[in-house]
Amino acid sequence: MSQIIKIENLKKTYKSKKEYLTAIKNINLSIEEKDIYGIIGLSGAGKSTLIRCINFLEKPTEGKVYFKGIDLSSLKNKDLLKVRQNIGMIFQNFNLLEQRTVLENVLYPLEIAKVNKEEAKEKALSLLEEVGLKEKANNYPSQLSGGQKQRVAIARALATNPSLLLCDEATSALDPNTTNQILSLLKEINEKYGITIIVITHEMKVIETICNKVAIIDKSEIVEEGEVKDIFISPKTDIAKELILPKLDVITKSSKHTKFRLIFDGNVMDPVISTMILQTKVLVNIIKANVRTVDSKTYGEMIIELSDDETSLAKVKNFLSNNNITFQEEE
Amino acid sequence: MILSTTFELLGNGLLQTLYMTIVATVFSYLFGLPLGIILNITSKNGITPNKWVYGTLNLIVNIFRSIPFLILLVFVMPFTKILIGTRIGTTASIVPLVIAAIPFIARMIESSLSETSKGVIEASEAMGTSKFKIIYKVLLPEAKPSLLVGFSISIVTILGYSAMAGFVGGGGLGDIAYQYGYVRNDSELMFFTIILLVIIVQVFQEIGMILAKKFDHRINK
Repeated sequence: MSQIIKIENLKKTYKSKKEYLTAIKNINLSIEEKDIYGIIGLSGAGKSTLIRCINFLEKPTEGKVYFKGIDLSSLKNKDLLKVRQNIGMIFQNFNLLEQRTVLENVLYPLEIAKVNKEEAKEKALSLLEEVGLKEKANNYPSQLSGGQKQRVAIARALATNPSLLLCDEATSALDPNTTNQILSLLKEINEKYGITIIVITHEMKVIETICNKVAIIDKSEIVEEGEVKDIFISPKTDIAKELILPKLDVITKSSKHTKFRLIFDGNVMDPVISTMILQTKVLVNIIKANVRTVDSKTYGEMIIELSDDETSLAKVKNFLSNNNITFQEEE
Repeated sequence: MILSTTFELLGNGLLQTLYMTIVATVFSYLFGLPLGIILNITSKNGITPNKWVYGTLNLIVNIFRSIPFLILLVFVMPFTKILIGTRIGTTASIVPLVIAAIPFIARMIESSLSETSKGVIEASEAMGTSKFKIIYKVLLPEAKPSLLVGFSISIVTILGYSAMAGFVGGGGLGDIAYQYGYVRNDSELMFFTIILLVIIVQVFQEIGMILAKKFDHRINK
Protein backbone atom coordinates (compact mmCIF):
# COMPACT_ATOMS: atom_id res chain seq x y z
CA MET A 1 0.00 0.00 0.00
CA SER A 2 1.18 3.47 -0.70
CA GLN A 3 1.58 6.38 1.61
CA ILE A 4 -1.01 9.11 1.48
CA ILE A 5 0.55 11.32 4.13
CA LYS A 6 4.15 11.59 5.10
CA ILE A 7 5.27 13.97 7.79
CA GLU A 8 8.93 14.74 8.30
CA ASN A 9 10.46 16.52 11.31
CA LEU A 10 7.43 18.68 11.72
CA LYS A 11 7.63 21.55 14.15
CA LYS A 12 5.21 24.35 14.91
CA THR A 13 5.94 27.18 17.26
CA TYR A 14 3.77 30.15 18.09
CA LYS A 15 5.20 33.51 18.92
CA SER A 16 3.66 35.06 21.97
CA LYS A 17 4.79 38.41 23.34
CA LYS A 18 8.15 37.35 24.68
CA GLU A 19 8.64 33.65 24.18
CA TYR A 20 8.09 30.97 21.60
CA LEU A 21 5.58 28.30 22.44
CA THR A 22 6.21 24.94 20.88
CA ALA A 23 2.96 23.24 19.94
CA ILE A 24 4.52 20.23 18.23
CA LYS A 25 8.05 19.11 17.44
CA ASN A 26 10.00 16.17 15.98
CA ILE A 27 6.89 14.74 14.39
CA ASN A 28 7.52 11.96 11.89
CA LEU A 29 4.58 9.96 10.65
CA SER A 30 3.56 8.06 7.61
CA ILE A 31 0.00 7.16 6.97
CA GLU A 32 -0.91 4.49 4.48
CA GLU A 33 -3.88 4.58 2.16
CA LYS A 34 -7.07 3.15 3.68
CA ASP A 35 -5.74 3.44 7.23
CA ILE A 36 -7.90 4.72 10.02
CA TYR A 37 -5.13 6.39 11.90
CA GLY A 38 -5.74 7.63 15.40
CA ILE A 39 -3.75 10.36 17.10
CA ILE A 40 -4.46 10.43 20.80
CA GLY A 41 -3.26 12.73 23.53
CA LEU A 42 -4.41 14.71 26.50
CA SER A 43 -5.64 18.23 25.92
CA GLY A 44 -2.80 20.62 25.19
CA ALA A 45 -0.60 17.85 23.83
CA GLY A 46 -0.57 19.45 20.38
CA LYS A 47 -2.88 17.13 18.50
CA SER A 48 -5.13 19.88 17.12
CA THR A 49 -2.11 21.73 15.77
CA LEU A 50 -0.82 18.52 14.23
CA ILE A 51 -4.03 17.78 12.32
CA ARG A 52 -4.17 21.39 11.09
CA CYS A 53 -0.65 21.08 9.73
CA ILE A 54 -1.80 18.14 7.60
CA ASN A 55 -4.02 20.36 5.44
CA PHE A 56 -1.90 23.45 6.08
CA LEU A 57 -4.59 25.34 7.98
CA GLU A 58 -1.54 25.90 10.15
CA LYS A 59 1.73 26.44 8.32
CA PRO A 60 4.48 24.39 9.96
CA THR A 61 7.46 26.31 11.29
CA GLU A 62 9.83 23.55 10.19
CA GLY A 63 9.55 20.22 8.45
CA LYS A 64 7.54 18.87 5.57
CA VAL A 65 4.12 17.44 4.96
CA TYR A 66 3.65 15.34 1.84
CA PHE A 67 0.17 14.56 0.56
CA LYS A 68 0.33 11.82 -2.09
CA GLY A 69 3.97 12.73 -2.56
CA ILE A 70 3.34 16.45 -3.02
CA ASP A 71 5.26 18.71 -0.68
CA LEU A 72 2.52 21.05 0.57
CA SER A 73 4.98 23.82 1.44
CA SER A 74 6.04 24.00 -2.20
CA LEU A 75 2.53 24.80 -3.43
CA LYS A 76 1.21 28.17 -4.43
CA ASN A 77 -1.87 29.27 -2.52
CA LYS A 78 -4.13 28.49 -5.46
CA ASP A 79 -2.85 24.94 -5.73
CA LEU A 80 -3.04 24.46 -1.99
CA LEU A 81 -6.74 25.34 -2.14
CA LYS A 82 -7.15 22.69 -4.85
CA VAL A 83 -5.38 20.10 -2.69
CA ARG A 84 -7.66 20.96 0.23
CA GLN A 85 -10.66 20.04 -1.89
CA ASN A 86 -9.18 16.56 -1.86
CA ILE A 87 -8.94 16.48 1.95
CA GLY A 88 -12.22 16.49 3.88
CA MET A 89 -12.37 17.69 7.45
CA ILE A 90 -14.90 17.43 10.26
CA PHE A 91 -14.82 19.18 13.61
CA GLN A 92 -15.89 18.88 17.22
CA ASN A 93 -18.37 21.73 16.84
CA PHE A 94 -19.57 20.61 13.39
CA ASN A 95 -19.02 24.11 11.94
CA LEU A 96 -21.99 24.08 9.61
CA LEU A 97 -23.05 27.30 7.92
CA GLU A 98 -26.00 28.37 10.05
CA GLN A 99 -27.76 30.39 7.38
CA ARG A 100 -27.70 27.59 4.83
CA THR A 101 -29.98 24.59 4.73
CA VAL A 102 -28.63 21.09 5.18
CA LEU A 103 -28.61 20.60 1.40
CA GLU A 104 -26.93 23.97 0.80
CA ASN A 105 -24.25 23.05 3.33
CA VAL A 106 -23.42 19.89 1.41
CA LEU A 107 -23.50 21.90 -1.83
CA TYR A 108 -20.98 24.41 -0.48
CA PRO A 109 -17.75 22.51 -1.27
CA LEU A 110 -19.17 21.67 -4.70
CA GLU A 111 -19.75 25.36 -5.39
CA ILE A 112 -16.17 26.03 -4.40
CA ALA A 113 -15.00 23.22 -6.69
CA LYS A 114 -17.19 24.70 -9.47
CA VAL A 115 -19.15 21.52 -10.10
CA ASN A 116 -22.20 22.22 -12.28
CA LYS A 117 -25.44 22.72 -10.39
CA GLU A 118 -27.41 19.68 -11.54
CA GLU A 119 -24.58 17.30 -10.89
CA ALA A 120 -23.83 18.93 -7.52
CA LYS A 121 -27.41 18.61 -6.34
CA GLU A 122 -27.58 14.98 -7.32
CA LYS A 123 -24.33 14.27 -5.51
CA ALA A 124 -25.40 16.16 -2.38
CA LEU A 125 -28.74 14.37 -2.17
CA SER A 126 -27.15 10.98 -2.58
CA LEU A 127 -24.68 11.78 0.20
CA LEU A 128 -27.49 12.94 2.46
CA GLU A 129 -29.26 9.68 1.78
CA GLU A 130 -26.09 7.84 2.65
CA VAL A 131 -25.86 9.53 6.06
CA GLY A 132 -29.58 9.04 6.59
CA LEU A 133 -30.68 12.67 6.44
CA LYS A 134 -32.30 13.04 3.06
CA GLU A 135 -35.63 14.09 4.55
CA LYS A 136 -33.86 16.90 6.46
CA ALA A 137 -32.40 18.39 3.26
CA ASN A 138 -34.39 21.62 3.58
CA ASN A 139 -34.00 22.06 7.31
CA TYR A 140 -31.51 24.43 8.89
CA PRO A 141 -28.69 23.22 11.15
CA SER A 142 -30.33 24.77 14.22
CA GLN A 143 -33.17 22.30 13.80
CA LEU A 144 -30.87 19.28 14.04
CA SER A 145 -29.40 17.34 16.94
CA GLY A 146 -25.63 17.13 17.47
CA GLY A 147 -25.39 13.71 15.86
CA GLN A 148 -27.39 14.85 12.86
CA LYS A 149 -25.20 17.94 12.49
CA GLN A 150 -22.10 15.77 12.44
CA ARG A 151 -23.72 13.57 9.77
CA VAL A 152 -24.31 16.65 7.63
CA ALA A 153 -20.70 17.67 8.22
CA ILE A 154 -19.57 14.22 7.10
CA ALA A 155 -21.71 14.41 3.96
CA ARG A 156 -20.26 17.86 3.28
CA ALA A 157 -16.70 16.62 3.81
CA LEU A 158 -17.27 13.77 1.35
CA ALA A 159 -18.90 15.88 -1.37
CA THR A 160 -15.73 16.43 -3.37
CA ASN A 161 -14.73 12.73 -3.18
CA PRO A 162 -11.67 13.38 -1.04
CA SER A 163 -9.11 10.64 -0.54
CA LEU A 164 -8.41 11.71 3.03
CA LEU A 165 -10.76 12.67 5.85
CA LEU A 166 -9.48 14.54 8.90
CA CYS A 167 -11.56 14.23 12.07
CA ASP A 168 -10.78 16.75 14.78
CA GLU A 169 -12.37 15.46 17.99
CA ALA A 170 -15.40 14.69 15.85
CA THR A 171 -17.26 12.81 18.56
CA SER A 172 -16.17 14.76 21.64
CA ALA A 173 -19.35 16.84 21.78
CA LEU A 174 -21.64 13.84 21.37
CA ASP A 175 -23.21 11.44 23.85
CA PRO A 176 -21.88 7.85 23.97
CA ASN A 177 -24.70 6.43 21.91
CA THR A 178 -24.40 9.02 19.14
CA THR A 179 -20.60 8.66 19.29
CA ASN A 180 -20.96 4.99 18.42
CA GLN A 181 -23.26 5.76 15.51
CA ILE A 182 -20.89 8.36 14.09
CA LEU A 183 -17.91 6.03 14.55
CA SER A 184 -19.63 3.20 12.70
CA LEU A 185 -20.55 5.63 9.93
CA LEU A 186 -16.87 6.60 9.62
CA LYS A 187 -15.85 2.94 9.54
CA GLU A 188 -18.46 2.29 6.85
CA ILE A 189 -17.17 5.17 4.74
CA ASN A 190 -13.63 3.89 5.11
CA GLU A 191 -14.61 0.43 3.93
CA LYS A 192 -16.97 1.51 1.17
CA TYR A 193 -14.89 4.25 -0.46
CA GLY A 194 -11.43 3.24 0.72
CA ILE A 195 -10.96 6.74 2.08
CA THR A 196 -8.12 7.23 4.53
CA ILE A 197 -9.20 8.67 7.88
CA ILE A 198 -7.09 10.50 10.45
CA VAL A 199 -8.76 10.80 13.81
CA ILE A 200 -7.70 13.16 16.58
CA THR A 201 -9.12 12.30 19.96
CA HIS A 202 -8.55 12.16 23.68
CA GLU A 203 -10.77 9.11 24.09
CA MET A 204 -9.18 5.68 23.88
CA LYS A 205 -12.61 4.29 23.08
CA VAL A 206 -12.55 6.01 19.69
CA ILE A 207 -9.17 4.48 18.87
CA GLU A 208 -10.29 1.08 20.06
CA THR A 209 -13.51 1.18 18.05
CA ILE A 210 -12.33 2.25 14.61
CA CYS A 211 -8.57 2.73 14.28
CA ASN A 212 -6.09 0.22 13.00
CA LYS A 213 -3.07 2.37 13.82
CA VAL A 214 -2.40 4.85 16.56
CA ALA A 215 0.14 7.46 17.56
CA ILE A 216 0.29 8.75 21.09
CA ILE A 217 1.24 12.38 21.42
CA ASP A 218 2.45 13.82 24.68
CA LYS A 219 4.02 17.20 25.42
CA SER A 220 4.27 18.11 21.71
CA GLU A 221 5.93 14.88 20.64
CA ILE A 222 4.89 11.46 19.45
CA VAL A 223 5.97 9.03 22.11
CA GLU A 224 4.58 5.80 20.78
CA GLU A 225 3.21 4.65 17.47
CA GLY A 226 2.07 1.46 15.82
CA GLU A 227 -0.74 -1.00 15.28
CA VAL A 228 -3.54 -0.47 17.77
CA LYS A 229 -3.44 -4.02 19.03
CA ASP A 230 0.31 -3.91 19.68
CA ILE A 231 0.03 -0.70 21.66
CA PHE A 232 -2.87 -2.09 23.66
CA ILE A 233 -1.03 -5.30 24.46
CA SER A 234 2.19 -3.67 25.55
CA PRO A 235 2.05 0.07 26.05
CA LYS A 236 5.61 1.19 26.69
CA THR A 237 5.30 4.73 27.95
CA ASP A 238 3.51 5.91 31.06
CA ILE A 239 1.25 8.16 29.06
CA ALA A 240 0.19 5.25 26.84
CA LYS A 241 -0.59 3.18 29.92
CA GLU A 242 -2.53 6.04 31.41
CA LEU A 243 -4.56 6.56 28.25
CA ILE A 244 -5.25 2.89 27.72
CA LEU A 245 -6.08 2.11 31.30
CA PRO A 246 -6.73 5.16 33.40
CA LYS A 247 -5.67 4.46 36.97
CA LEU A 248 -8.63 3.64 39.13
CA ASP A 249 -9.43 6.09 41.87
CA VAL A 250 -10.55 4.46 45.04
CA ILE A 251 -13.34 5.90 47.04
CA THR A 252 -12.28 4.73 50.44
CA LYS A 253 -13.91 7.19 52.72
CA SER A 254 -17.04 5.16 53.39
CA SER A 255 -15.56 1.77 54.10
CA LYS A 256 -12.76 0.71 56.39
CA HIS A 257 -12.28 -2.79 55.06
CA THR A 258 -9.08 -4.00 53.51
CA LYS A 259 -8.81 -3.37 49.80
CA PHE A 260 -6.54 -4.90 47.21
CA ARG A 261 -5.67 -3.48 43.85
CA LEU A 262 -5.15 -6.33 41.42
CA ILE A 263 -3.20 -5.69 38.26
CA PHE A 264 -3.79 -7.91 35.24
CA ASP A 265 -0.95 -7.84 32.75
CA GLY A 266 -2.14 -10.34 30.20
CA ASN A 267 -0.83 -13.44 31.92
CA VAL A 268 -3.87 -14.18 33.97
CA MET A 269 -5.96 -17.29 33.76
CA ASP A 270 -9.47 -16.37 32.86
CA PRO A 271 -12.06 -16.60 35.65
CA VAL A 272 -9.56 -15.50 38.28
CA ILE A 273 -11.93 -14.02 40.84
CA SER A 274 -14.35 -16.95 40.72
CA THR A 275 -11.50 -19.40 41.11
CA MET A 276 -10.15 -17.41 44.02
CA ILE A 277 -13.48 -17.39 45.82
CA LEU A 278 -13.99 -21.09 45.30
CA GLN A 279 -10.51 -22.02 46.43
CA THR A 280 -10.13 -19.70 49.40
CA LYS A 281 -13.81 -19.63 50.39
CA VAL A 282 -13.35 -15.92 51.14
CA LEU A 283 -16.07 -13.59 49.92
CA VAL A 284 -14.95 -10.50 48.06
CA ASN A 285 -16.62 -7.35 46.93
CA ILE A 286 -15.58 -5.94 43.57
CA ILE A 287 -15.42 -2.20 44.10
CA LYS A 288 -14.22 -1.09 40.73
CA ALA A 289 -12.70 -2.64 37.65
CA ASN A 290 -11.25 -1.43 34.40
CA VAL A 291 -10.35 -4.41 32.32
CA ARG A 292 -9.82 -4.84 28.62
CA THR A 293 -9.43 -7.97 26.59
CA VAL A 294 -7.09 -7.78 23.64
CA ASP A 295 -6.34 -10.93 21.68
CA SER A 296 -8.04 -12.96 24.44
CA LYS A 297 -5.64 -11.65 27.06
CA THR A 298 -6.81 -9.60 29.96
CA TYR A 299 -5.29 -6.26 30.90
CA GLY A 300 -6.33 -3.83 33.54
CA GLU A 301 -6.95 -3.21 37.16
CA MET A 302 -9.51 -4.26 39.71
CA ILE A 303 -10.11 -3.18 43.25
CA ILE A 304 -11.62 -5.72 45.60
CA GLU A 305 -12.70 -5.41 49.18
CA LEU A 306 -12.35 -8.19 51.76
CA SER A 307 -13.25 -8.77 55.36
CA ASP A 308 -10.48 -7.84 57.78
CA ASP A 309 -10.20 -11.33 59.17
CA GLU A 310 -6.47 -12.24 59.25
CA THR A 311 -6.77 -15.80 58.04
CA SER A 312 -8.96 -14.83 55.08
CA LEU A 313 -6.50 -12.12 54.09
CA ALA A 314 -3.63 -14.55 54.27
CA LYS A 315 -5.49 -17.03 52.08
CA VAL A 316 -6.21 -14.43 49.46
CA LYS A 317 -2.65 -13.10 49.43
CA ASN A 318 -1.41 -16.62 49.09
CA PHE A 319 -3.72 -17.33 46.17
CA LEU A 320 -2.75 -14.15 44.38
CA SER A 321 0.97 -14.72 44.70
CA ASN A 322 0.64 -18.35 43.63
CA ASN A 323 -1.13 -17.23 40.51
CA ASN A 324 1.36 -14.45 39.72
CA ILE A 325 -1.16 -11.69 40.04
CA THR A 326 0.38 -8.40 41.01
CA PHE A 327 -1.51 -6.75 43.84
CA GLN A 328 -1.17 -3.89 46.27
CA GLU A 329 -2.97 -3.24 49.46
CA GLU A 330 -4.85 0.05 49.19
CA GLU A 331 -5.07 2.51 52.01
CA MET B 1 -56.57 76.96 2.64
CA ILE B 2 -54.41 77.17 5.69
CA LEU B 3 -54.75 73.44 6.20
CA SER B 4 -53.71 72.61 2.67
CA THR B 5 -50.61 74.82 2.92
CA THR B 6 -49.67 73.04 6.11
CA PHE B 7 -50.08 69.69 4.39
CA GLU B 8 -48.03 70.85 1.48
CA LEU B 9 -45.35 72.11 3.81
CA LEU B 10 -45.19 68.89 5.78
CA GLY B 11 -45.45 66.79 2.62
CA ASN B 12 -42.51 68.61 1.09
CA GLY B 13 -40.54 68.31 4.30
CA LEU B 14 -41.28 64.60 4.45
CA LEU B 15 -40.10 64.08 0.88
CA GLN B 16 -36.92 66.07 1.52
CA THR B 17 -36.22 64.07 4.66
CA LEU B 18 -36.76 60.77 2.88
CA TYR B 19 -34.61 61.94 -0.02
CA MET B 20 -31.74 62.95 2.24
CA THR B 21 -32.00 59.84 4.37
CA ILE B 22 -32.27 57.32 1.56
CA VAL B 23 -29.64 58.84 -0.72
CA ALA B 24 -27.26 59.34 2.20
CA THR B 25 -27.83 55.74 3.35
CA VAL B 26 -27.11 54.36 -0.10
CA PHE B 27 -23.88 56.33 -0.44
CA SER B 28 -22.82 55.61 3.14
CA TYR B 29 -23.18 51.88 2.49
CA LEU B 30 -21.36 52.17 -0.79
CA PHE B 31 -18.28 53.29 1.14
CA GLY B 32 -19.06 51.94 4.63
CA LEU B 33 -19.61 48.32 3.57
CA PRO B 34 -16.18 47.79 1.98
CA LEU B 35 -14.56 49.75 4.80
CA GLY B 36 -16.30 47.58 7.41
CA ILE B 37 -15.26 44.43 5.58
CA ILE B 38 -11.63 45.58 5.40
CA LEU B 39 -11.68 46.49 9.10
CA ASN B 40 -13.06 43.05 9.95
CA ILE B 41 -10.70 40.95 7.84
CA THR B 42 -7.56 42.89 8.73
CA SER B 43 -8.26 42.93 12.47
CA LYS B 44 -6.32 40.65 14.79
CA ASN B 45 -8.94 37.93 14.62
CA GLY B 46 -9.78 38.46 10.96
CA ILE B 47 -8.98 36.20 8.04
CA THR B 48 -6.01 38.27 6.86
CA PRO B 49 -4.74 40.18 9.89
CA ASN B 50 -2.77 43.25 8.91
CA LYS B 51 -1.63 45.54 11.68
CA TRP B 52 -0.88 48.55 9.46
CA VAL B 53 -4.02 48.56 7.37
CA TYR B 54 -6.21 47.95 10.40
CA GLY B 55 -4.36 50.46 12.55
CA THR B 56 -4.60 53.24 9.96
CA LEU B 57 -8.27 52.71 9.10
CA ASN B 58 -9.14 52.26 12.75
CA LEU B 59 -7.57 55.63 13.57
CA ILE B 60 -9.36 57.44 10.75
CA VAL B 61 -12.70 55.92 11.69
CA ASN B 62 -12.17 56.88 15.32
CA ILE B 63 -11.31 60.46 14.44
CA PHE B 64 -14.39 60.93 12.25
CA ARG B 65 -16.63 59.28 14.82
CA SER B 66 -15.42 61.69 17.48
CA ILE B 67 -16.44 64.82 15.58
CA PRO B 68 -19.92 65.99 16.63
CA PHE B 69 -22.22 66.04 13.62
CA LEU B 70 -23.12 69.71 13.91
CA ILE B 71 -19.45 70.65 13.72
CA LEU B 72 -18.79 68.26 10.87
CA LEU B 73 -21.69 69.86 9.05
CA VAL B 74 -19.91 73.19 8.99
CA PHE B 75 -16.42 71.76 8.72
CA VAL B 76 -17.02 69.90 5.43
CA MET B 77 -18.72 72.83 3.71
CA PRO B 78 -15.75 73.71 1.48
CA PHE B 79 -15.54 70.10 0.40
CA THR B 80 -19.28 70.04 -0.32
CA LYS B 81 -18.87 73.16 -2.45
CA ILE B 82 -16.26 71.41 -4.58
CA LEU B 83 -18.33 68.25 -4.87
CA ILE B 84 -21.85 69.56 -5.40
CA GLY B 85 -21.21 73.14 -6.42
CA THR B 86 -23.10 74.61 -3.49
CA ARG B 87 -22.76 74.43 0.27
CA ILE B 88 -26.41 74.74 1.21
CA GLY B 89 -29.61 72.96 0.36
CA THR B 90 -30.98 69.47 0.58
CA THR B 91 -28.56 67.79 -1.80
CA ALA B 92 -25.60 69.59 -0.27
CA SER B 93 -26.49 68.32 3.19
CA ILE B 94 -26.19 64.73 1.95
CA VAL B 95 -22.41 65.16 1.84
CA PRO B 96 -21.88 65.66 5.59
CA LEU B 97 -24.51 63.00 6.27
CA VAL B 98 -22.53 60.46 4.25
CA ILE B 99 -19.23 61.50 5.81
CA ALA B 100 -20.68 61.12 9.29
CA ALA B 101 -22.41 57.82 8.54
CA ILE B 102 -19.53 55.98 6.79
CA PRO B 103 -17.46 55.35 9.92
CA PHE B 104 -20.58 54.54 11.90
CA ILE B 105 -21.72 51.98 9.34
CA ALA B 106 -18.22 50.57 8.94
CA ARG B 107 -18.04 49.86 12.67
CA MET B 108 -21.46 48.25 12.63
CA ILE B 109 -20.48 46.01 9.73
CA GLU B 110 -17.14 45.17 11.31
CA SER B 111 -18.90 43.97 14.42
CA SER B 112 -21.66 42.10 12.56
CA LEU B 113 -19.10 40.16 10.55
CA SER B 114 -17.15 39.20 13.63
CA GLU B 115 -20.16 37.24 14.90
CA THR B 116 -19.40 34.40 12.50
CA SER B 117 -17.67 31.66 14.46
CA LYS B 118 -14.00 31.02 13.79
CA GLY B 119 -14.85 27.36 13.36
CA VAL B 120 -17.14 27.99 10.42
CA ILE B 121 -14.47 30.09 8.74
CA GLU B 122 -11.89 27.41 9.42
CA ALA B 123 -14.18 24.76 7.93
CA SER B 124 -14.61 26.81 4.77
CA GLU B 125 -10.83 27.29 4.54
CA ALA B 126 -10.42 23.53 4.95
CA MET B 127 -12.74 23.06 1.98
CA GLY B 128 -10.40 25.14 -0.17
CA THR B 129 -12.23 28.49 -0.14
CA SER B 130 -10.09 31.48 -1.06
CA LYS B 131 -10.03 34.47 1.29
CA PHE B 132 -12.01 36.53 -1.18
CA LYS B 133 -14.72 33.91 -1.50
CA ILE B 134 -14.89 33.57 2.28
CA ILE B 135 -16.04 37.19 2.40
CA TYR B 136 -19.04 36.79 0.13
CA LYS B 137 -19.82 33.13 0.62
CA VAL B 138 -19.38 32.88 4.38
CA LEU B 139 -18.91 36.15 6.27
CA LEU B 140 -21.64 38.21 4.60
CA PRO B 141 -24.36 35.54 4.28
CA GLU B 142 -23.79 34.23 7.80
CA ALA B 143 -24.05 37.75 9.23
CA LYS B 144 -27.13 38.66 7.20
CA PRO B 145 -29.57 38.99 10.15
CA SER B 146 -27.10 41.09 12.09
CA LEU B 147 -26.35 43.22 9.03
CA LEU B 148 -30.07 43.90 8.59
CA VAL B 149 -30.43 44.98 12.21
CA GLY B 150 -27.42 47.22 11.64
CA PHE B 151 -29.06 48.60 8.53
CA SER B 152 -32.20 49.64 10.37
CA ILE B 153 -30.14 51.26 13.13
CA SER B 154 -28.06 53.10 10.53
CA ILE B 155 -31.00 54.44 8.58
CA VAL B 156 -32.64 55.73 11.76
CA THR B 157 -29.38 57.36 12.83
CA ILE B 158 -29.00 59.03 9.44
CA LEU B 159 -32.59 60.22 9.68
CA GLY B 160 -31.77 61.78 13.04
CA TYR B 161 -28.71 63.50 11.59
CA SER B 162 -30.77 64.76 8.65
CA ALA B 163 -32.94 66.72 11.07
CA MET B 164 -29.87 68.65 12.14
CA ALA B 165 -29.08 69.38 8.51
CA GLY B 166 -32.07 71.72 8.69
CA PHE B 167 -29.87 74.21 10.50
CA VAL B 168 -27.74 74.74 7.42
CA GLY B 169 -30.75 75.11 5.15
CA GLY B 170 -30.93 71.45 4.31
CA GLY B 171 -34.70 71.39 4.37
CA GLY B 172 -36.72 68.44 5.53
CA LEU B 173 -38.82 67.90 8.62
CA GLY B 174 -36.05 68.97 10.97
CA ASP B 175 -35.86 72.28 9.18
CA ILE B 176 -39.64 72.79 9.49
CA ALA B 177 -39.61 71.93 13.17
CA TYR B 178 -36.85 74.47 13.70
CA GLN B 179 -38.15 77.26 11.44
CA TYR B 180 -41.80 77.09 12.41
CA GLY B 181 -41.69 75.43 15.79
CA TYR B 182 -38.76 77.24 17.33
CA VAL B 183 -38.31 80.49 15.39
CA ARG B 184 -42.03 81.24 14.92
CA ASN B 185 -43.16 79.48 18.04
CA ASP B 186 -45.80 77.40 16.22
CA SER B 187 -45.94 74.51 18.64
CA GLU B 188 -48.80 72.78 16.80
CA LEU B 189 -46.78 72.43 13.64
CA MET B 190 -43.77 71.29 15.59
CA PHE B 191 -45.96 68.65 17.19
CA PHE B 192 -47.08 67.31 13.80
CA THR B 193 -43.52 67.23 12.58
CA ILE B 194 -42.44 65.22 15.58
CA ILE B 195 -45.30 62.74 15.06
CA LEU B 196 -44.29 62.33 11.43
CA LEU B 197 -40.66 61.70 12.41
CA VAL B 198 -41.69 59.16 15.02
CA ILE B 199 -43.78 57.31 12.45
CA ILE B 200 -40.96 57.17 9.88
CA VAL B 201 -38.49 55.95 12.47
CA GLN B 202 -40.90 53.24 13.59
CA VAL B 203 -41.54 52.12 10.02
CA PHE B 204 -37.82 51.88 9.17
CA GLN B 205 -37.04 50.10 12.39
CA GLU B 206 -39.86 47.60 12.09
CA ILE B 207 -39.05 46.76 8.49
CA GLY B 208 -35.42 46.14 9.46
CA MET B 209 -36.30 43.95 12.41
CA ILE B 210 -38.87 41.93 10.48
CA LEU B 211 -36.39 41.29 7.68
CA ALA B 212 -33.66 40.35 10.15
CA LYS B 213 -35.95 37.86 11.82
CA LYS B 214 -37.14 36.44 8.53
CA PHE B 215 -33.60 35.80 7.38
CA ASP B 216 -32.28 34.37 10.61
CA HIS B 217 -32.23 30.60 10.50
CA ARG B 218 -30.40 30.13 13.75
CA ILE B 219 -33.51 29.97 15.89
CA ASN B 220 -36.05 27.19 15.59
CA LYS B 221 -39.21 28.23 13.87
